Amino acid sequence: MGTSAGVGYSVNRNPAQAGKEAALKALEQAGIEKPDFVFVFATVGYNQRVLIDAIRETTSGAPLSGCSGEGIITRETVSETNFGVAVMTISSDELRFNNACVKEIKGEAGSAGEQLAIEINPFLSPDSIACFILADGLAFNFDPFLATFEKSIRHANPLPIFGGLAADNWASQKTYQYHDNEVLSEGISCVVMSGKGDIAWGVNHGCIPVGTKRIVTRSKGNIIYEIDGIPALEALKDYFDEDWKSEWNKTALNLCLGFKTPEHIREGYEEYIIRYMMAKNDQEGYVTIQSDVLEGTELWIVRRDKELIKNGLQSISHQIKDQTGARRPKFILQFECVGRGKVVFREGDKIDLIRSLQNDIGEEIPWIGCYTYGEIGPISNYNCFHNFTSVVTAVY
Amino acid sequence: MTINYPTNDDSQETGEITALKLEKDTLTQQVKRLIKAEGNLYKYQEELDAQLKEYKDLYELSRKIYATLDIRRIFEHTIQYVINNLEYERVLFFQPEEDLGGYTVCAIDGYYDGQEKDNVAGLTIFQDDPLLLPLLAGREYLICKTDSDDKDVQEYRARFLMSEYLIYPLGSRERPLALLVVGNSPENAEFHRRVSDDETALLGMGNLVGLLSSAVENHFLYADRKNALEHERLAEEKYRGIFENALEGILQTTPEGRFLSCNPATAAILGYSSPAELIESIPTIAQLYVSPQRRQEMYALLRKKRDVKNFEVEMYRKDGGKQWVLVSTRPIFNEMDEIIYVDGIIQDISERKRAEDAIQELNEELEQRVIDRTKELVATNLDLRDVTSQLESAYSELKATQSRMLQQEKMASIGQLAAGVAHEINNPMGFIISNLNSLKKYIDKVTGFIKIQSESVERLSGNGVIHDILKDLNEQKKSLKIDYILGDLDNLIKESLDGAERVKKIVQELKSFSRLDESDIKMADINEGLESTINIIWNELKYNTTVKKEYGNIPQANCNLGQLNQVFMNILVNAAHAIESQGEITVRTSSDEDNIYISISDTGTGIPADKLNRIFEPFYTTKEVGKGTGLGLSIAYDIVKKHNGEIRLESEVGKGTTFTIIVPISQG
Repeated sequence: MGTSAGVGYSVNRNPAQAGKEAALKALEQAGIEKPDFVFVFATVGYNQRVLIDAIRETTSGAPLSGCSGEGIITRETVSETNFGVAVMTISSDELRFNNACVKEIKGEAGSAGEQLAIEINPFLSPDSIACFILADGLAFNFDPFLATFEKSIRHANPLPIFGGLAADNWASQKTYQYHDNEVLSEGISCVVMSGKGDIAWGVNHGCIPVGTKRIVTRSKGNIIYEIDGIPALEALKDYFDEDWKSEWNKTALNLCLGFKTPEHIREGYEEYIIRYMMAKNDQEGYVTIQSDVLEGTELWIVRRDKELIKNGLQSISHQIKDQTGARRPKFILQFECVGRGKVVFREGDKIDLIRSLQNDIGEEIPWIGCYTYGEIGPISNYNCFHNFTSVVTAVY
Repeated sequence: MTINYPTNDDSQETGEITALKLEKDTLTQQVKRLIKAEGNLYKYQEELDAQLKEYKDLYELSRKIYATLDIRRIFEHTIQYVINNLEYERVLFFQPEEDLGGYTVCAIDGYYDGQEKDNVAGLTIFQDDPLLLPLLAGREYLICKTDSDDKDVQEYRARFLMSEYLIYPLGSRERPLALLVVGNSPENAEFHRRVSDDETALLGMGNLVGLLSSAVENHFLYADRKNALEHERLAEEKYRGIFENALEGILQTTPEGRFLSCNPATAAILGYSSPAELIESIPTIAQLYVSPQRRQEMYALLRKKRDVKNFEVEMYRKDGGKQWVLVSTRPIFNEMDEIIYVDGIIQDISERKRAEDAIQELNEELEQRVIDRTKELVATNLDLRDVTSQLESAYSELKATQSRMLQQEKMASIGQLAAGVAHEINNPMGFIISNLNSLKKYIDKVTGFIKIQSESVERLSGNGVIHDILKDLNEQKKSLKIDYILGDLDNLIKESLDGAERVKKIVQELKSFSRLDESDIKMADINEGLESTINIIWNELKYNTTVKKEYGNIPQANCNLGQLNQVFMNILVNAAHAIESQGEITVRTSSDEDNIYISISDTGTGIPADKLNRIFEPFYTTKEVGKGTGLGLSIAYDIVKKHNGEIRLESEVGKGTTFTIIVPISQG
């Protein structure tokens, strides 16, 4: 039989109907009645409980993992609204999907990594292909998580990690992670994919530095206190418009931070890795990013460049096709940064870009994705965290 | 002190560095402005995109709602637009409900909880609700934000289940054709377009309402016009149908009498095949009138502007025959008070006329018949009254007779039973008495023999062995009380014979009382009858009564003694019942040449004078309910009467009563 996957979506406002509608379409496209596994991405306007219940009921209670995003991506739609749900149903006799979850990760990224490793170790085997991590974008710190996770998992080779950080449409209040019947916040939903299959991926951001080098002069963990010896916010405020304090989420999108890509992964990547300032502290003047940063680190102000983004997507397509060769992917997962959607592209341009990428990689391949607060994808065999990036994974 | 002045080279380098720093600062500022500008560009671009999408969607909506005249479809399209494009959570449409005097919900969406939806779907906003007053006064919309403190709009938060909402009246008429309410629940407001009085925020709703008002007005105008046309068509169809199919003739003429139009019924009534034939054949209606005078009378009324109703006219038919019609007309005048034309209705009343004549004849005939019949009935009624009286009397008599017969039948049955029992006892009693007499003789003989035997044995007492035997015998004789038995045997037999004789006597008296073994009328001893009756009912008499018998030497009488015994029994039992504690009943008999006189007197309570004449009536009783049938003396009276005799009665309250029965000796 191999692998049958199908994707359905709905923008119906009624959560029960939306969940059912999307799941039914996915099942219909896959040509199956009961799937082995279900991926779900949805936006936060819905009553999440009702939504997931409807999907579970329609998919006969098959194992389910997913998270909330700022928007959903399928072959039929690219929708950045508060009401959108995309469901992928997979039935396979060559791939296995085992899922797990970790709760209450805020400020506990290190122990969360260890705990998740313990949860998934029973599922790991020599034929394990990859791990998908869908974590709370408001509570996740990648570096301490990765350090303990990789240290604790029992797998001969480094296990590639893909995924994204759950979003909540700029509200910065609550994101959701889905694990079977559970709807979590401040958690991680994880899927281990094993069996007969391969994974190909591409990662690209499309940002470019503007201005001169800056130095992080005081930092701790993922907090940057000072840049060039002055409070971080003080150093950055001239780049912001007048309403920057109240519109931080979107303001920060226009001012990304670029750090030199570490030597060990530079060969397979671009010159800078990009970070989004997910939070700020007006009193102490610091900003928070989603990975650790050391004092003395060089940084550049970077901006998104539409041309580079377009070119970057083509690059992703090439990267994937180089890996898959003549083999047609069974399905694709895409984790796209919220900063690369409607906040930078006009609606029509954005859809054209995604369509172009989809068609480049291959027509009619089941495709599901979401707009995230952060992306995860390996560079040169090192699992890395990204911002303002598109991570596309093709299972073939 | 040495002052070092900079060389030309140094100053050039310093100048370049300064210039470079300035340039760097300038570039840095430019970058900052660029970043800001780019951020604003993206922001405006996003807003522009949203606005363009909104206008595009609004255009699509306008195409949809102008493509239909179905108001429900218009509301459905609008709801989808409001929810999916304007991104308000909830939408309600209200339409006027004339019967309720307010607006009720006619379309709804955004309520995904069944209970919530049901609650809101039943909402009514009454015409005089303070919420509506500003809208009815011409306000473009009402807004309720989360911080609104207007009491009237606040009250509707709970009813709409919205923490913030907008209400727009639709249509420009004084009374809105519909109300549109959009808004958000407190739980989900943050994920929807917020209700705000910001001009830009209201622009989308304003555009929508402008479009929608126009569409709704068009719908209602179209609907009104369509309805009006339909009503006109229906009315025309209806009146055309009435005109064509009416049984009454409907016509229109000029004042001169020329037909302008008429319906098929008019033609048919006057014997023409079609209205056209009638109109063509008759230049003026005047020629149809049998009496031209009648037409002049009718027109005189019309000229006085009076409607003419049910005017009976005789007209000529096409075949020359005459036809009675009932005419109702109405003149139509012009401004100069001249009759322009006359509308009329004619009804064929020939049948009615014929019926009226027939009824008249019939009435006259009937009246005569009623007079004759009344006379007969008066006579018959008098006869009937007599017959009724007789029937009532006969009925009473029949009822009494029936009851008496039942009682007599009952008594006869008892007598028959008693006679049967007596007969069956009589025979065994015969041989019991006979056997007892024989037994007495045998006992005497056996006793004598035993005595002699004892004396003989006594004489053998000298012999030793025999002595012992005799001794044993004597002991046995004593222990068995043989001497006592022999002495008592005689008494026992004597008592048994007495008892048997008494039974025999009672049986004979029973037979004598019932007399069933005798024919109805025969010579019989009334004293014997009295004696047997007293014996039979002795048990009834013996406790409080002493019976004194003063039988005279009377001849036998030709009578049914069984029946007379029943008379004696009824009177004797009544006498015993009349005696409250202890008293006396005296039974006397005497005779003369023709009659036997039997008088039964008691010393009882006596019968009051007002009851004396009723005691022979059937069912009359002075006894307690259930004790007496009220038939005893009535039956006695009948029996004596059958014997051609009579019963006389004397009574005095507190002293007693005497019944005297007179029975003829021979039944002539």
